[in-house]
Amino acid sequence: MEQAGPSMKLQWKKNSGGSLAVLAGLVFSYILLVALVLLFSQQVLLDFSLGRTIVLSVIAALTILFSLLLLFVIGAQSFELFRGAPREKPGVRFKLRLVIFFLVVIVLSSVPQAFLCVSFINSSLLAVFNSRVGQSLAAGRSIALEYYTEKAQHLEELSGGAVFRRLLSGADREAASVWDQIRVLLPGANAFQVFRSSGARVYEAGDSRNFMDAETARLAQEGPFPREITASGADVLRTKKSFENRRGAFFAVLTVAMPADFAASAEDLAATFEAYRQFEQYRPAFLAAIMLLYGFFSFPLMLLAVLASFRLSDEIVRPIASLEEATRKVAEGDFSFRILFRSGDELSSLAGSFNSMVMELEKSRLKSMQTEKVAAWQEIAQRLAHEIKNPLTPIKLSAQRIQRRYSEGAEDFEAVLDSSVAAIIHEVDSLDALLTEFRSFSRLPAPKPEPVILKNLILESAAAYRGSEKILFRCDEVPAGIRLALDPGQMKQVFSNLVTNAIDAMPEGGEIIFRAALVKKGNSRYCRIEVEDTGEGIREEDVSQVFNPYYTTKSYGTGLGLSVVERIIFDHKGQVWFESHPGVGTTFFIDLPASPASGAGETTGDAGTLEA
Amino acid sequence: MRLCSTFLNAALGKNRKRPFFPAVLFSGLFFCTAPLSVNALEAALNFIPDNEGGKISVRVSGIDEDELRAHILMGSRSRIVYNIRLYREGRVMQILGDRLLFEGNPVQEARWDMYSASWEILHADGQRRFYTDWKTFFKKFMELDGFRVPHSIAGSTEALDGKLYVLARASFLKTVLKAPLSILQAFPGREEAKSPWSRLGLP
Repeated sequence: MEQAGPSMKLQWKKNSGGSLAVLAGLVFSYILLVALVLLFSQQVLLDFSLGRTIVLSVIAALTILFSLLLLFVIGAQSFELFRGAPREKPGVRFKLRLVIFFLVVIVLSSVPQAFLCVSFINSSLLAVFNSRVGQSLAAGRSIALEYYTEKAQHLEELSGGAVFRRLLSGADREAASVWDQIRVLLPGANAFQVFRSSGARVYEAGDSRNFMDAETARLAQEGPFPREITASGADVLRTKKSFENRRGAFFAVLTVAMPADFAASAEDLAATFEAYRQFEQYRPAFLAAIMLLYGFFSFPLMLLAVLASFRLSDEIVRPIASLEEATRKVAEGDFSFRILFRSGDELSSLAGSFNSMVMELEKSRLKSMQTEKVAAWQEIAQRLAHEIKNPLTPIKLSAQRIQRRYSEGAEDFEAVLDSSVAAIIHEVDSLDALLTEFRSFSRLPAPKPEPVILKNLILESAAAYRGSEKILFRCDEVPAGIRLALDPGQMKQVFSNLVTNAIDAMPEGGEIIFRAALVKKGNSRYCRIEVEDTGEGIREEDVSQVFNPYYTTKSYGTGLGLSVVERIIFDHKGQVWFESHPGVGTTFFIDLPASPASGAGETTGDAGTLEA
Repeated sequence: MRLCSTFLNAALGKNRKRPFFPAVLFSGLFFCTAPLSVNALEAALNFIPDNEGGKISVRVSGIDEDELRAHILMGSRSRIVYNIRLYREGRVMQILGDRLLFEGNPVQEARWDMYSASWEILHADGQRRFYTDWKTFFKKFMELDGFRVPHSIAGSTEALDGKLYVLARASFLKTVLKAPLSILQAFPGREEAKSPWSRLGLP
């Protein structure tokens, strides 16, 4: 690949440092969000009512804060995007379409995921808490209840029966014997206590961990006690029975302990049944909550995806926009433009191909220019030879005439000599003028631009052509406010040459109209100047040769006027061309570069009419 | 009316043939906006000093007794969480604010025990007690009795001197939900009511 020259312009502003920072930011944000989701999922099974919601509040606050931050960044990006859309910035519409496309894809993929997630949770819960499980739990609960009730009934029957009353009558003296008999009658009996009515202990037997406090027992009412979980964790049922005998008033407390595994299992069963009942009742609300939470955590992730889509669309659009701009530059004639590419993707290959193509175009153009230059010089040499040869013939004839007359000894030799020498001098003067003009054309100096008010320049150029009453100059369509950086001397020569040609084209008189306006095309601004005449126009066969040096249709012209015009305009980085209609007139168009400070082209200038 | 009916059916889980997603939507709305059947919850404080500092009692009022009874009888578990904080007033013109010396968050839960057909309270001290009488049960559930406030800060030799006061608040949760349904408690408007902070200056 050929190396780019020093004046080569490189495009495709790939900022690898910035891209890495943005990528790192996106990855960090994603990890942060995932961490928040994981943290929340660990908190979700905690009991929020026990004051453990601080972490949850922090997670929620962070998520909301993060969402707001992302919304702000996306808002700024969107503002930038929509601000660029009306200006037709390269790639803006394509980027807008890409972002909308990504957004639609994100939404379309998220919604089914949400429904899938909720549906999966619902199905899973239904699989666990189905009606068979409910029936099983209810049945297990019934069995446990039946067992518990049976135990309670046995205790109640024994304590209320005549046998127990008879046994208690001697319990203050033969308590151990009574306790043995009770254990036979009630195998689950765990503790037996006998107190005097004052609360004084008489006898205690069985599991001491389940003994009842004397004072509590004394104050308690006769009959069964409410269920009790003792300090040792035993689930016990008790009953109090008072009795009297000759030795005084007593009361006994009989305790039955439920099997330890039964109590725990019964509690588990109750808890599971409670969970099942809650699931039946709150399932729809729970699923709604899941959907809300899904949305709550998905929203910032979606925003992150949108932000990533902005970045991705940037990556896609930038090379395309660069290509578009490069194509435009090349179309405008700037073959030094190159696209810088670094990555190894297809767009980089395209950029490489484009650069190669522009390089080949540049080579072809240079070659073509060289060929044209050679051809032009050949043409000039031919025409110059022709123009020099033309006066040589009369000079030669005049010299031959002098020689012939002298050898003949003609009487009018003196007169012939005078006339022939005069003719030779005239032709030599013409030849000298021709060569002087050619030298000044070939040595045309580089323009020295300075701020010039265009209208004044045109009026000064046209003022030199006063004298012909048949020619009317009109400058009222040249705004007075247009200021351009021009070489005033060279530009006066341009207008002078054009006006001369126009006057020559209107032997019967007519109008020469000047027009000017500032034009903005893309990012470039220029001033378009028109010089229109109402002359006979240019013949079609002459159109392609008008700007060629030494080409003229006039008997007295040198044929360099329009060549000088083209050269000066080219040196001012402008363009010149013309439109002509035979019998109607000719208009020359000149485009000259203008700066934003050149003035309002749309401003209507002072009406100005100059009569030559 | 039809909308309302769908709403209620979805929330109460009565109609098994209801459309699924409308039911989910309406139930979510219902749960989040259901008004509490409690009046303005209030917590009244009492402090009994003793040699070890003193005991705080908190009495909660404002909960509908009949509705709570019916609710618990249906098999639900209710909970009251007490937030108790002991402060010392700022000494230098209160520039630095009051200092939090102690904080406790005792919890009491109540439910119906089907096995013994009695009312059960899991007290703040970890004891499970059963009551056959509703009135006694309700009274016991509505109060936190004898919550000890220390006379010195644990791990510090600093004595609890200066102007001390207690702030207390009660949070009533009508239904204690089991995981994963407990996630519903994260939403505002759940069946929970909180009393304002009550202040009691200590002698």
